[in-house]
Amino acid sequence: MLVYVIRKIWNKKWIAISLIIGNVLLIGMIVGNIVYSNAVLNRVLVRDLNNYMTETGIYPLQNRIEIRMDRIRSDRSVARKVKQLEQIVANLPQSMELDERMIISSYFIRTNYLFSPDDKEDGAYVLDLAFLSDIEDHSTFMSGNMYSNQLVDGAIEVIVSRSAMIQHDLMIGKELYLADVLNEDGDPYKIRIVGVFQNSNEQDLYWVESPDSMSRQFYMDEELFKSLFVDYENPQQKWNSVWYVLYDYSNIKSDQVDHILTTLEDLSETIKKIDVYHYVEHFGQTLKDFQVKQHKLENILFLLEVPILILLLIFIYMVNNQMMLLERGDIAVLKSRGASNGHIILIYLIQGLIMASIGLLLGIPLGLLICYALGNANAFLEFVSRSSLEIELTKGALYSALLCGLSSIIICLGLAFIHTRETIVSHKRKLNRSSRGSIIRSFVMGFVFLGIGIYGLYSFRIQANALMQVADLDTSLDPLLFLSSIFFIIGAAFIVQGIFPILLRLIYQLGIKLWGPSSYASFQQVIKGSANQGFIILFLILTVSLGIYSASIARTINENEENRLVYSTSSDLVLKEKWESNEDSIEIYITTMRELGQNVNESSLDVYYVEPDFNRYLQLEGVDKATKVFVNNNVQVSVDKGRVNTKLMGIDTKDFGETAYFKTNLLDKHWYHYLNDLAKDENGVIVSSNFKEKYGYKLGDIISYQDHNGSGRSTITGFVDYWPSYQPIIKEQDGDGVVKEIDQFLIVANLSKLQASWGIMPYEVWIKAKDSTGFIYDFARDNNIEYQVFEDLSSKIINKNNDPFFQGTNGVLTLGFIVILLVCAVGFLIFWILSILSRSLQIGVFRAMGMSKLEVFRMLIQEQLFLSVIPILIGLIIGNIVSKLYVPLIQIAYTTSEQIIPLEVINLQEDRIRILMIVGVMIVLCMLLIGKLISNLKITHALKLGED
Amino acid sequence: MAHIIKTNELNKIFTLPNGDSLHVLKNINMVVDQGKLTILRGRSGSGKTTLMNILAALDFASSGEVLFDNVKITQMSERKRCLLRREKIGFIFQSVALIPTMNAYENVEYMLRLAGIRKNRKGLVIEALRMVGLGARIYHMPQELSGGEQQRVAIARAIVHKPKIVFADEPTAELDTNTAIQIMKIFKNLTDKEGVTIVMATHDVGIMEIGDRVYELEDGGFIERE
Repeated sequence: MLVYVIRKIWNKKWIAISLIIGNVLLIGMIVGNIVYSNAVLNRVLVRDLNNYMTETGIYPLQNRIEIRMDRIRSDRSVARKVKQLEQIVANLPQSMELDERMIISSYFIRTNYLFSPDDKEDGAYVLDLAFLSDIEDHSTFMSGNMYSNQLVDGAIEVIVSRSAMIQHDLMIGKELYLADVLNEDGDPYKIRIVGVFQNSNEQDLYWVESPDSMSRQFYMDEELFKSLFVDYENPQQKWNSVWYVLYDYSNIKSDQVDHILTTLEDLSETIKKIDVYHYVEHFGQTLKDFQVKQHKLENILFLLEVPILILLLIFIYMVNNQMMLLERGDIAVLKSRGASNGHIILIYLIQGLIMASIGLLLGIPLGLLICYALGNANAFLEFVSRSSLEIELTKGALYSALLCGLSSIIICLGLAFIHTRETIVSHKRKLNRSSRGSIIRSFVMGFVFLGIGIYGLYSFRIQANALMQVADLDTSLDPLLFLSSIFFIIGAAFIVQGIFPILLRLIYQLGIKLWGPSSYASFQQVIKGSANQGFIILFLILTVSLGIYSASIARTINENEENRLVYSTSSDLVLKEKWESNEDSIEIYITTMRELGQNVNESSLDVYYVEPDFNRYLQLEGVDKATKVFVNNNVQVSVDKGRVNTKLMGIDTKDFGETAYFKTNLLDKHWYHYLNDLAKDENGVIVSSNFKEKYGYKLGDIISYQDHNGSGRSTITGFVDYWPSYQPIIKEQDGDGVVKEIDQFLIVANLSKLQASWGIMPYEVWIKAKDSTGFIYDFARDNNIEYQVFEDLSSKIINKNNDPFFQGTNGVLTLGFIVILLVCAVGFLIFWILSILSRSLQIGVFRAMGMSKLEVFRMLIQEQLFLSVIPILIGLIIGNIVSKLYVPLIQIAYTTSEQIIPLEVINLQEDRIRILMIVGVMIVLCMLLIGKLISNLKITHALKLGED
Repeated sequence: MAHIIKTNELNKIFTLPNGDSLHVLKNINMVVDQGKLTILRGRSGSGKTTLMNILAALDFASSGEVLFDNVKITQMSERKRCLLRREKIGFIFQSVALIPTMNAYENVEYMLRLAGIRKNRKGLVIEALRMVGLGARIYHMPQELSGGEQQRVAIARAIVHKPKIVFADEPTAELDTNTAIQIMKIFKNLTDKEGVTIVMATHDVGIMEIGDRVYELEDGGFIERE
C-alpha cells in the first residue's frame, strides 16, 4: 500500500509539492518563532542582569544570609541553625539549578580588645575576629605575610586591611588581647598582626565588600577559627555567620527563571522559619521584571503569528481537498474493487504521515533558518547582519512542531473521511444545493464575525484612552484586540463572498443583451460556479488583507517610534560642552565668605563663561549643518494666576531651519513660515499654543519672561502646537496612581536677542550629519571634550531596532508577509490549473461548437478577473480599512513612553505594489499556462476524455 | 440529390508516442446526402469517430479531400473552421456534454450566441426544444434532468442554429433501450419532417435499419450497404 501511496503522490507532483510547501512552512514558522523568542529572551536576561550590575555595582545573582548570636536567643539553638544554614548554603546552587560562581563564608566574633592582658576594658576598642573563606586566593600582601593555621607562640596570627591598619593604628608584629574571647585558662586570647592584604584584582567578584570597608575585621585561618570557637552543640563563644552565594549566570536560560523564582520563594520561607538576622537576594525583582518582558514578548510574537498559521492550515486543507476531488474517480474504482472505507482512509493516513514527516524533516531546519532571519530583522522587510543569536532547538519548539504535523494529518484524515462517505448521489445532490443557501450562509457568517470585530474595536477604543495614560512595561498586546481585527477581516471577507455573486448577477443582467459568447460563458461560470470558487475568493481576500494589515502594523510601529525619536531629539547630534567658567571660584568665594561670617549678595556675582570655538564643528568633515541652540528650562513667565515655568529656546532661524528635523505636517503651515516671521522681528518670539489656550495670549501681544540671570519682553509672532524637541504634555502619576497631564510651555526667541539680555551662556550645538555620526566620537576623544549633553539620534534608532520587541515583531510580520505572498501565489496557481484541467471536456465542447482559441482564452481570463483579480483588489481595500481602524490601538502595546506627536498609520505604497506585482506575475504566469493548455488541447482528445 | 459532404481518398495516419504509425482511415470515399440520415457503423477502434471528426472539421486529414457544400475544408485555416463549426455544423457528443452552469434553455441558446444569431433567439430555442419533445422543464439545470432529457437538450442545441449538417457521435451509447429508441425517433423525425441532414456514428446493429445510407467501417475501410 505504501508503494501505491507513493506512486499516487508522484503522479500529482505539483499538488504534492504544494502540500509539502504548506507543511514545511507551517512547521518552520512555529519552530522559528519559538526558538527565536527563546534565543532573544536568553540574551535579554543576561543583558538585564548585566545592566543591574552596571547600575548598582552589585553582582546581580547573589544571596546573602547572616545569622547572629548576640541576639536574645539560646546560643545553642542558633548554633544548630548555623549548621542547618551551612547545609542549605552548600546546596543552594544545586537547588537553584544554577552553577556556583562563588560561595563566600565568613564567621566573626565581635570583641573588645586590649593592648595588654592587664588593661581594663573600656569599650572603645572593638574588633571582629573573623575568617573569610578562600581569602588567600584573592589577595596579595602590601606587607607581611599570610597567617599560620596554628597558634604561633600562643597567639592567633591575623591579617588586616590597610584601612584597619590605619583605624587601629597597627604595625606588623603588634599583639592585641581579646577581652571577650577567653581560652581554656580563662585568659584573653592573644592575636598577632602578621600581614596587610589588599585585593589582588579590582574586578574580582569575591570582594563583595571591598577591603577599604574592612576596618574592623581581623582575619585568621578558617580551620583554626572553627576548631577553636565553633561548637554546634555547646557553643562557648558567640559568633556570627555570613554567607554570600554568587551564582554563575553567563549561561542562564530564560526557561530557568520560573524554577529560580520558585526556589527563591522556598528559600525565603525556610529562612523566615530559621529567623535569621539578615537575608538579602538581589535578583528576585530583576527576574520578575524579566518575566513580564518574557510573557509580553512571547505573547506578542505568538499572537502575530496565529493568523498566518491559520492561513497555512487553510491552505493545507485546500490543497488536500483539491487532491481528493481529483481522486474521486480513483477512490470509486478502488471501492468497486472491494476496498472498504477503512482502506481508503488508511491510504490517506499514510499520505498524511508522509507529508507531515517531510514537513518535519524540512520544516525544523527551516525554522532554525527563520530564527536566524528573525534575529537579523531590522525593520519591516529589511535585514541587517548582526552578531548571531545563540539558537537552540528547545523542547517546546519540537512539541509544537509535532503538534503542527499532527494537525496536518488530522486535516487530511478529516477530508478523507468526508470524501469517502460521499457517494455519487450525495455528490450530485450537493451540486444541486441551492446557491442561495450558501449566499445566506456567507452573509450570516460575515455579519457575525464583523459584528464581533466591530464590537471589539469600540470597546477597545474606550479603553485606549485609559491605556494611553500609562505607557509602561505591562501594557501588552491584548489578544482580544488583535482577535477582533482578525475577526473583522474574516467577517468582511465573508460578506464580500456573499455579495459577489449577487453583484455579478446584477452586472450580468444589466448587460445581458451585450455579452458576447466568451463573456456570457464566463459570467455563467462565476455566478453559478462550485463551492470551490467561493472558497478561493475567500482565501484570496483573507490572504491579501492580512498581508496589508501585517505590513501596516509593522510599518506603523517602526515609523512611529522612529518619528518619536527623531522629533524628541530633533537633530543627528545634540551636544553641550562643559564651558570653562568662573563658577568654581565663585563657589569658593561664597563658602569662604560664609565661613568668615560675611554676607554675600550672590546675585551680584556674575558668572562668566568662556565660549568654546563653534567653528570647530562647522569645519568637521562629517558635519553637513550645525547650529547653536540655547536652551533654558527654568524661565518664568508671569501670568495673571502667578508664574508659569517655561522652556526658553534661542535660535538662529536660518541655521536652525536647515539643521533641525521637523515633520512639515505637524503645524497648520510649513514651519519655515514661523521661522521667517521670527526672523523679521528681532524681538519676536514663537510660543506654544497653550499660552493662547490657557492664558489668552494673542498674536502681537507682549510676553515677559525671566530667570535670575536675565529677562525679556517680546512680541508674539506665532503659536505652535509642536516644535523640534518640544514635548507639549508630560504625564505624571501621583501617589494614588492617578495620571495627570501637565502642560509644558515653550518660548522660542532669536539667539542674538537672548544673548544680549542673558549674556553668552552655554548653548547646545545641534548638528546635521552628512552621513554617519562616527566622526564626533573621534573628535571628542581627540580634543578631550567633556559633554554635559550628548545625544546621538542614530544610536537611539539602532537601539530601538535592536530592542527585542521591535526586532521580533518586525521579524514575525515580515516573514508572515512573505509566507502570505508565497501561499497566495501557490494557492492561486493550483486552483487555476486544476480548474482548467478539470474543465478540459467543457473546453473541448466549446471548441467543437465553434469557439475559437482566442475566445476560449478571453473567457478564462474574464473568469480570472472576477475570481482572482477583483478579490485581490478587495483584499487590498479591506486590509487598508482594518489598518486604519485597528493599528492605532495595537500600536499602544509598543509605545515605550508617551505618544508625543500624533500617530500616523502607515500604509506604504511599496507594500501594495509588492503584493500587486506578485499577483501580476502570478496572473501572467497563469495566462501563459492557460494559453499553452488551450493551444495544445486537441479537441478530439478532450472530447474523448469525457467518453470514458 | 445534393451531397452536403463528399470525400476523396481520405486518409488519416496517427503517429504514436513510440514512433509507430497507425493508419486509421484508408482511402475513404463517401458522400452524405442532404436531408438524409447517414450512419457510420463499426466496432470500437474501427475509425468511425476519427472519420466523423474530420468530416466535422474538428480534426485534420493526413491526405485526401473533404468537400463541404462543395468547398474544400481539408486545408482550411483554424479560424475558418471555427466559423464553419459554429454556423453550419451541429455536434452531439456521446457524453452529452451540456454546460453544467447553464440550464437547458440557456444551453441551447448558447449555440445561437456562438453562431452570432441575435434575432428571435427565444423563438428559435423554444422551437428546437419542441422538435425534440421537450416542452416542460426547460429551465432546469442539466443535473436535474434524466439521461434521455439531457440528450434531447443536446440535440436541440445541435439544431437550433439550423446548421447544414448535424453530427452525432454514439448518441445512444449511454442510454437504455427505450430511451435510445425515442432518441432515434427524434432523429428520424428531424430528417424526414424537418429536412435536417444527420450523420451518426454507432456500433449498435439495431439502429442500422433506420438509416438512409449506412457505411460499415472495418479496419479503416468501408463496406458499404444501402
